[in-house]
Amino acid sequence: MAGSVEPETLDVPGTGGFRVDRLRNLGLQAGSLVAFVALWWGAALVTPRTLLPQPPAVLDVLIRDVGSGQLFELVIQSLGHYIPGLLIGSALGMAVGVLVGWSSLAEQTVGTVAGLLRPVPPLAWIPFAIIWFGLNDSGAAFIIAIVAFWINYYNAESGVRDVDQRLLEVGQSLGTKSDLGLIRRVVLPSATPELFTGFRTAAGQAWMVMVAAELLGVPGIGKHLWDAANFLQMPVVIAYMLVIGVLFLLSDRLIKLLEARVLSWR
Amino acid sequence: MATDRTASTETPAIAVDHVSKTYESERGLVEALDDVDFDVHAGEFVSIVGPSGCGKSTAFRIIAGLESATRGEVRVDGAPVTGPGPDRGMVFQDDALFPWRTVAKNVAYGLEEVGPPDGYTVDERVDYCLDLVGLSDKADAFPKELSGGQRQRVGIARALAVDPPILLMDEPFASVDARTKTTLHRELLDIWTETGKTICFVTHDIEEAVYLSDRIVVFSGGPGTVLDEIPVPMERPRDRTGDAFTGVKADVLAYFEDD
Repeated sequence: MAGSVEPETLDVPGTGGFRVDRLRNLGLQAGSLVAFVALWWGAALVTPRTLLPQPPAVLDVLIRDVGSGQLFELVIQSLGHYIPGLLIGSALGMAVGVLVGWSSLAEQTVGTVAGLLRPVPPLAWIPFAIIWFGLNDSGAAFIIAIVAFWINYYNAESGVRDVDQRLLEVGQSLGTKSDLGLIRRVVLPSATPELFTGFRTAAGQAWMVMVAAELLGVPGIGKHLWDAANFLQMPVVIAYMLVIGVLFLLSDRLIKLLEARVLSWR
Repeated sequence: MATDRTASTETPAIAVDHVSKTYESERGLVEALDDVDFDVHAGEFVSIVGPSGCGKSTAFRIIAGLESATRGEVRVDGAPVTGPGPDRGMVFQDDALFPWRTVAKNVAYGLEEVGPPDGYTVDERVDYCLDLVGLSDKADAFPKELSGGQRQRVGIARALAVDPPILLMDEPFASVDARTKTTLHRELLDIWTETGKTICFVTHDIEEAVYLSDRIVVFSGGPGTVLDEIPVPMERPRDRTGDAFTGVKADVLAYFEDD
């Protein structure tokens, strides 16, 4: 009997089994990063330097740019359109998505128009970004907002559609009468996991589209990366590719942490 | 004679008045209920019993106001039902708790909407209801941390919180294990005695109906009609193995055996 109980207790957070698992995962993660650098280094040794720079050259760039403060400055510049674009696009996307998911009238009207605009690639909006906002933070934020809008829109819509019908009925039987009341007290809390998923996906996609949006000439990591590429400064290109990767991981972790706190009931 | 007259003119707590329900489906019209007619009196414990698909859940939903009748009407305390409302507490088969709310917050939901009953604050009312179902120590737990039986208790506490005169229960114990079920039966009867609610209880479990009810409304399927109303004139607590008990059980069962 005692033997059959043991495997269950192993998975409980805070026990030895959990720590061992965690340690093992950390080891695997660190190991694969080392292996990745080793592979890259090995390949770089047998490739002309102009095609694939070696890790030390990239490290030099990073050390130099961290020391001079340039890396920090570029990150701040990029965040200047990344954050407003992500937040505004996500908020609008969630709002419209909830509306379309909730009301069949909105689904038939707004939803139909959305279906038409959805396939337009975000970068096709660049001409409008330029003539409406100009080559500045607002223009880049506009492109990022479009990406964030669609991802949040679809997650919010399906999140609202999937709300357990019985919970709505319970809410009504307990005195919630208006649509707004039901949305606020039943639909939104119940769709929060999907809203988070949408926001987290959008936050990741926004880094990618940010680089492209900075092609317009808006200062930031992406523009710096393109400028370096024009002068064939490949170590700089790789250095900032890595910076974007790290920024993505950081933002993703941050949102996951927030998610775990807010959704502790799951 | 005089008392008889008052009894017959007394407004029933729930009057299901010649209710029919027809659905439109892809294969045409489906008749779910055909001229269903019965009353539940104030303070009475009435079960609706029938095989699955007999329309008893449809009847429940119409009484709850979640669906409308095609013909006829349901009146609660004399007033036609037009939608769900806090005068009829609902308890579902799968607890249907708000998973993002703690146990106490689930119970508080209705109180936040319509306010606590006279003489209580919201917190006092939550405490009282949790105490009633024996879950005071779980107030801060989330539904995922509870067993199936505990979740059903929270569902009952939540329905009772706003002090509705009527409790509507749709197979509330269908998915808990047999032992928990027996405990829950006793607890429900205690709560019923203490609060004096009118209870309309839908189930396909005949023994459950005989154990709990004052009266059993027997449904037949396709379309749902009332076959009979069987009174259960037995003292509580009832002995599930006694002759009187098995006798009533056999009476109810007799309606389903020739199917």
